[in-house]
Amino acid sequence: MSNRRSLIFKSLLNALWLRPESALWYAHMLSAAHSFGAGSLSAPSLEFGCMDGVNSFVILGGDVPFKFDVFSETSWDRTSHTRSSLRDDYYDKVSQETADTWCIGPPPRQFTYGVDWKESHIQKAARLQAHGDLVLWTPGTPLSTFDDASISGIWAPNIYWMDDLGLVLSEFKRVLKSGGQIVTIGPDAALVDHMLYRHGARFDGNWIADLDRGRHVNAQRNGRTFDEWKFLFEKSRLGVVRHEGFLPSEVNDLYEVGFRPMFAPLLQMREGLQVAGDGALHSVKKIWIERIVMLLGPFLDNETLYNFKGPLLWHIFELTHLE
Amino acid sequence: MSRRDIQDIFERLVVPLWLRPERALWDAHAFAAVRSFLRPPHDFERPALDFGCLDGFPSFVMMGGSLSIDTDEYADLVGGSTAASTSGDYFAVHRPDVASTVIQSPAQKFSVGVSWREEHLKKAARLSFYDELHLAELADPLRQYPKSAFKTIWSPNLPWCPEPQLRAILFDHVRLLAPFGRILTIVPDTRQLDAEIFAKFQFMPKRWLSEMDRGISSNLTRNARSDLEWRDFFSGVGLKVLRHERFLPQIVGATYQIGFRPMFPALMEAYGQLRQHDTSQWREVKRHWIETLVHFFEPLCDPMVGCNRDEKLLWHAYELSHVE
Repeated sequence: MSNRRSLIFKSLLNALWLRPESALWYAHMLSAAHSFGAGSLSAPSLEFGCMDGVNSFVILGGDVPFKFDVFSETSWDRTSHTRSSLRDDYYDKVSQETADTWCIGPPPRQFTYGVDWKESHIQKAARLQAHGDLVLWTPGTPLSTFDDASISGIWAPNIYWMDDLGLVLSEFKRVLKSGGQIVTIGPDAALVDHMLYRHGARFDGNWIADLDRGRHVNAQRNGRTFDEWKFLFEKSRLGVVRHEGFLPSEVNDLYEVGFRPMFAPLLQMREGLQVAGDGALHSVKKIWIERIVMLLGPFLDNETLYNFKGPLLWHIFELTHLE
Repeated sequence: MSRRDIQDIFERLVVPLWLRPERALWDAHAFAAVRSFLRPPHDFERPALDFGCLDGFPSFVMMGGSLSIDTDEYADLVGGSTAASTSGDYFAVHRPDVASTVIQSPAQKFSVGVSWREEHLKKAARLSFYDELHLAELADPLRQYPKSAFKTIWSPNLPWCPEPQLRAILFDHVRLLAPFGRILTIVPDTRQLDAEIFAKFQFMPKRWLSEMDRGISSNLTRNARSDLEWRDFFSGVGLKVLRHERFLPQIVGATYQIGFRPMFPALMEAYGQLRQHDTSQWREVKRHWIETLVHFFEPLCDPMVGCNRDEKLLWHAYELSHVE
């Protein structure tokens, strides 16, 4: 998995170079998902929470080219760093002017369907051609587009964003064919204890909240021990076929801060470089990526990871119908 | 020393050091401690020596100066090779067409600045903050100055010197110091040894450790001593402690040991490209960058951030004078 994790990281880093902590996190998550077969599910397959499609593209075997990144369509201003919520997303902007730069697909394989709850995600994901069809879905409602027992495999990397997980899991159970496979992830109950947010009371004002940007909400809402997850799945008549932990707390520590605080100035820097020309932008990006690979490379390598003593903070599950 | 003192210095120092804010933060803690020795009735007395002035920015800001957004430590590197920014010795690069724009000069100036590179002195000269600047190996006595030549000696570079050299420098400081004059300096406590963040990562690949640390750990710990040991050491060269302040919370020390250093070559390339292509754009990026840094570094300007007792602070600032 170590080598695959590094390959995924390098591919994602081209897309996410200004946010390498995200590339690092996703590389750990996607390599675990790959080993659970999430990138090679039997058709008809469904990706639930496909976001902008970049992670889908990568887990389906796509190689992100150096010249592509996700930052040409971002919104920021001089106070972006003080708006601390999950809703305030830098990436909500969609622009036809830059749509061509996203024409890097299709990847070698496809999901039959992609589902997301943001229009911007659906529009961006459509460009990458990682899904046969894309569905905009309203959280808290049934997956009414899909018939009973119509899907063979579900990859669901974002269920922990949901308020009503029970409804989502019931819908997975309904649309999944007999013998079908679900691969999903969820935070461990211990994740909140490893988040910066736990230090909030020690500092004045919104400082920790501005670093956290609302991420603790998902961990508080849906952090569970393995037994608690298993219980939740079984309530929806889904059984755990296989389980592993991933993401050592030391890697999570890097993700907790990363380049997130400086993201808006970095976006402005990138815009300036783009105005200066592709040569200027790519010259910086090349050196940037070299430095990041040096800095974060060991945090992808099993040999190093074995020495980390912290707990694994995330779960990955393979589920199927309970008999 | 208050949080406001540290924050004030940080906000002025981060203008020339914007790509390396961890240095601005570390220095702001150190300089606020030293500034506490320079308040009435013990004001700054001339002739004054800045021993190891580098490019002059640190002492200029410590003494109350402020610089325009156009001025920073990196302008000399723009258009050059990336070797200097990769090696980290960017102080050694000087471009004659670069200027420093001063918004406010300190009320008090140093009589003499000395440093060990010609390039440092050329850059320090831009600030009009020193009456004289001299090239000197810090290990060698400043023979050009007679006994008792200075009433104030600011000596921030003692921590980096191996012991025989450290002792020799202090003996020369004693010679240069006028009766009732004062030496101001900063040195590490033994707590710095326990605070070494890379000591906890010895299982990491050697290249990673070397790239991340770049010899800083050994610099920070080379002369680590307790307060009692430092007093004994100073006594051995004929100096007594007039005043003592502890500074540097562990979290600030850890921030300094990583900071933006690993990304400096890439940030420098970005700055160089922006500055070469569009003079207005880079200023706006820098303003935005600094506003964001000031916001996120503000709690780290607390002199006791993460500490409940000042004995836990990692460094000492001393005001020294001749033993009578």
